[in-house]
Amino acid sequence: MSLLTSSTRISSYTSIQRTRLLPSIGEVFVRVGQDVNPVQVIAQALPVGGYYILRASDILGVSSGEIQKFLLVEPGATLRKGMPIARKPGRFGRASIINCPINGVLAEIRNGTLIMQKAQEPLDLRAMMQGRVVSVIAGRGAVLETRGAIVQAKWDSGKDGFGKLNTAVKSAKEPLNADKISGDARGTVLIVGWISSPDDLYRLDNSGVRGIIAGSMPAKICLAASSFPFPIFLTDGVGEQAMTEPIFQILHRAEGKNASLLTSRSGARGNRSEIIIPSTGSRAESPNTLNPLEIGDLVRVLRWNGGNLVGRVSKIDMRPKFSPAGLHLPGAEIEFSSGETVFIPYTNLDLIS
Amino acid sequence: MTKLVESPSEALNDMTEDTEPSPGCRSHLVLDLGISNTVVTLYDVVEGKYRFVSRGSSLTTARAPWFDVNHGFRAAVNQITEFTGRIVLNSNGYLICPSRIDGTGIDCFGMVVSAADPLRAILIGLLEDVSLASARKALGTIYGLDVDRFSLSDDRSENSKLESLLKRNADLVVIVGGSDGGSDERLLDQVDTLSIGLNLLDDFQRPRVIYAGNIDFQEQVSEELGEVTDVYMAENVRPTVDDEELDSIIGVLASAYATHKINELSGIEGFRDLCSLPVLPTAHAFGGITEYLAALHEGKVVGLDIGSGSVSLVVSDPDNVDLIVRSDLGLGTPMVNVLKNIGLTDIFRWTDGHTRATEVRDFIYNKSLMAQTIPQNTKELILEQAIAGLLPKEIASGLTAGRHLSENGILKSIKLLVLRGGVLTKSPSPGYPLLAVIDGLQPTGVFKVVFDSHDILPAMGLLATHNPQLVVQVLDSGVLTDIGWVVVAAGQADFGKPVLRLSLDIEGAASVHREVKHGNLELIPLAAGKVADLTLQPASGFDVGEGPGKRTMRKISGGVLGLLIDARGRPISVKGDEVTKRSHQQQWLKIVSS
Repeated sequence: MSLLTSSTRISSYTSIQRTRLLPSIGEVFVRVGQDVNPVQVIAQALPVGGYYILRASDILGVSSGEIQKFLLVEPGATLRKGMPIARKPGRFGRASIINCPINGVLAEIRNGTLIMQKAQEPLDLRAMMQGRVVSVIAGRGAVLETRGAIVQAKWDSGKDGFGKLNTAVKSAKEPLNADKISGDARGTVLIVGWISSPDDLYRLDNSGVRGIIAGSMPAKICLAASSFPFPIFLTDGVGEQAMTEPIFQILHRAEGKNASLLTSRSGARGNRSEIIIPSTGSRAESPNTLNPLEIGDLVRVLRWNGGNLVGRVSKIDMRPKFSPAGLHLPGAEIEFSSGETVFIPYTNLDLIS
Repeated sequence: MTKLVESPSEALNDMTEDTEPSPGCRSHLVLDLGISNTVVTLYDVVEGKYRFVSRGSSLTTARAPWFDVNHGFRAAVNQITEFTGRIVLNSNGYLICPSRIDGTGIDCFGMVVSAADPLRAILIGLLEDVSLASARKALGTIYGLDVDRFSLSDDRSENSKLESLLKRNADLVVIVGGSDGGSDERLLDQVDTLSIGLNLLDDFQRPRVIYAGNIDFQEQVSEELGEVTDVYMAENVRPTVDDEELDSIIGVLASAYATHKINELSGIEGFRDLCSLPVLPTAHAFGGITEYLAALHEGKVVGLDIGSGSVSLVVSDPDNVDLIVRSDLGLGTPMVNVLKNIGLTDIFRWTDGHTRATEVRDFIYNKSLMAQTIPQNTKELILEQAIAGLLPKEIASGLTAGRHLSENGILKSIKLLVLRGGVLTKSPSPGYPLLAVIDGLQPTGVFKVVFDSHDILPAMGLLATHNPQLVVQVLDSGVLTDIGWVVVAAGQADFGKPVLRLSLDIEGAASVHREVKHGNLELIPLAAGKVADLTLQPASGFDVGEGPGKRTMRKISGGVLGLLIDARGRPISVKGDEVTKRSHQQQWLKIVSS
C-alpha cells in the first residue's frame, strides 16, 4: 500500500544542509571546512540589470567603425554623470559632445554602442545561519551544514532574518499583542500563535524586532507584509488559526537560542520557508519525508475547519471513501487526542517528519 | 490553427468497434503527470476489445521533498495493482515493459505532461495588434507566461527594455514581425538590443530565442544571436498582414517546452527512454482528442480542463481546433491571481450569503499555498466551485470572432461539451459545476455534456495516432460520464415571455410537454440509459442552433443530471442590483442541484 502525502519537517534535532546562492555570477569568499556565522558575507555580486546602453555612433551621426576616433574614454574607464565621453568637432569650432548619463564604468564598445555598467552597491550574500561550509559552488555560493532543530513554514514575507527566539504569548492559540511586547524584544524573533491585526505589526515597526513567527495571519495582512522591516513566517497557513502545537513546543523549548529564518524565495529551487535553530545534541533524527504514509504516523490535517489539527494515522484506506464535503478519494483514518477518529483524504494530510 | 497532434481523426474514422485488437500491443499504460496530481491509466484487451481497466493517482513528486517524479508514479501504479492484482512494476519499482509471458508488465507506455513550470517568454515584434497578437496566440497554446512585450507602440526607452530583459528571468524570447519580403528593418533594431542584453547575461540566465518574423531576416538574426544562445527558426507568423500562420511556431514552442521544461523535471529521464510514443503536453493531447470527438459528432465540440496549475479551453470542429492554455489561471498556485484579475463580487453570487470577504481571501491564499488540498466541507466546496466558475469566462475571452464566435461574441452552436478537472468532475452534485461552466462559456445550441471522470482523455489524445482502434473501443465502452443534454434558447425578449415549446417522448414513460419562458432555467429528469425524442420549437427570434424560429428534433440520451433547458438568452443578462443578481443565481443553483 502506498499513499503519499505532503510533508513538513518539524524536528528538534537533525542534520541540515542548505544551499545559499547569488542571483548572478559573482565572487565566493568562503572555502570548504570553514565555519560561518549568520552575518558573515559568503559571496558577493553586482545586481542583475545594472547596465545602460548609449547609441553613440547614431547620436554623433558617424559609422560604428568611426566611433573610436571620437571617444574620450576607453573600456574600463570610470564614468561620472555629466562628464564628456565623446566629442565630434564641427564647423566654426562647435563640437557635438556626449555627456555621460550615469555614474559607472564603460564595460564595452559594440558596433558603435557604449555599454556602461552602472555604479551600484554590490549584493552581499550572507550565511544567515551558523554552520560549516561543506561545498563551494564556483561563482554562485556555498552549501552550509549545521545540526539543530528545523521547522518548515507554509509562507513567508520574502525576507531572511535571524535572532534569538522570544516567546511572546502563553499558548499557541494566543495572537500577537504589540502592547505586551517590551523593550527587551529588540534583536529577537517573536513567537506568537497568530497575527490578528496589521496594527500590531505597524506598532513593532521601530521596535528592533528581527522577525515574527506565527501560525497564521489573514490574507489582507499578507499583502502588506513585505513592507515591514522584519521577516514574517507563517507555520500553518493564512487565516485566523493557531500555531500547530508540536511546532509551538519546539520553538518555545528553543527560547533564547539563535534562529535563522530562511525565505523560500531565495536559494535553491524548491526550497520551503524554514526556521533553523542550530544546537548541539547526541543523536540526529533521520526524517521520513519520502516514504508513503504508515499507521502511527503523526500528521497535520490541512484546512480542517479553518485550522490545522494534529493526529495519528490509525487506518489507511486505499479504496476511495467519501470525505465530509462529499468528495470520493483514498485517505486515512486520523485519531485526534480527543479520541475522535475522522476519515481525511490523502490530499489534505501533511506528514510531520 | 489547424492541427495539434498528427491527424488522429482521419485514422479513427476508419475504425469500427468490431476491429480485432493488434496482437503485438495489447496493454497500454499512460502516465498523466500533472502539477499537483499524477494519474496513471491502464488499458488492455478484455473479451476481444480494448477497455479501460483501472486508474491510480497520487500526488506529483516533482518538487520538494521528493524531487523525483518516480515516487508519485509508483504510488499511482501500486494503486492499480491493489485494485486489479495486475503486476506492472518489478521488485525494484521499475516498469516491466514489454509484458512477460507470466502476464506481468505492459506492452506500451506513454506520457502526457503538464507538471513542468510554464515557459516564461518575452515577445518582441513590431505591431501589437498584428504580429505580436499572433505570437501571443501561439504562446497561449502551451504552458507559457508572457512576461513582457516589446513593440513599436511601446514607449519605454531602449534602456528600460534592456533592464526588463536582464531582470525577467525569461526562458524564451519570441521574435515576430514584418511580412515576408518586406523591408522594414525596425525589427533588426530590437534584435540588436536583444543581442546586447543576451551578451550581458550569465550563461545560466540566458534565454533561448525563437524567430518567426520576416523570413528574409532569418540569416541576420541567426548570425547576430546564434553565437550567444540557441536560436530556433519557425515560419513567419504573418507572412502577409492578412495571413496568419501559426502551425510552425506552435510546433517549435511545444518542442521548446518539452526540451527546456519537461526535461528539467527530476526523474523524467527514465520515462522518456521507455516511451514508445512522443511525450505530449497534456493540453495538446486533450486538444487532439477533442478534435476527434468533433469529427465523430460532425460539429463543434468544446473541451474545458480546469486544473491546478492551468486552465485549457479547446474549441474544435472537424477541420480546425483552437486551443487556449492559461498558466496564470488554475485552482492551485495561480488561484491567487483571481484576487488580482477578477475580484470578489462574482464569487459572492455563488455563495450562501454568509461568506465574508476575508474568508474568501484566506481560502484563496491557502489553496494557492497548498495546491493539492481539496475542500474539507460543503462551504469550501461551494467556494472552490464558485471560483472555478469564473475561470471559463476569463479563458473564453481569448477566443476571437470568426470560426467559433459570432459577431456579438457568442459561442456558436455546439454539439458536445467535455469537462475535465477534479473540481468539475468529482463534485457530489454535477449541476453546480455545469452551471458554472455554462454561465462562463455561454455556449449555444442543443448539446450533450460529458465528464472525463476517470481522467482518460489526454491519454486517448496521446494514443490516437498510435492505436486509434484502442481509442474508438475505449470511448465506445461508455467510459465518459454522461451528465445529460442542454438546450439553449438564444435570443432576447422580455422576462417571462414564452420563447420555447418542447416535447420529450421518453421510451417507456409518459411524454413531457413544456412551454419555457425567457429568463428561466428548467431541469427535466432523464435517467442514464433512457432514450428520448426531443422536439423543440423556438419562438420567432429565438434560436436553438438551426436558425431563429426553426424547429428541431433530436434523439437524446439520459445522464446523471437529465435535460437542462436554458432560456436565459445570450448573452445572459440579469438586470438589477447585486442582491437581485445573487437571488437569481441562487435560484438557478437550486434548480440544477434538485
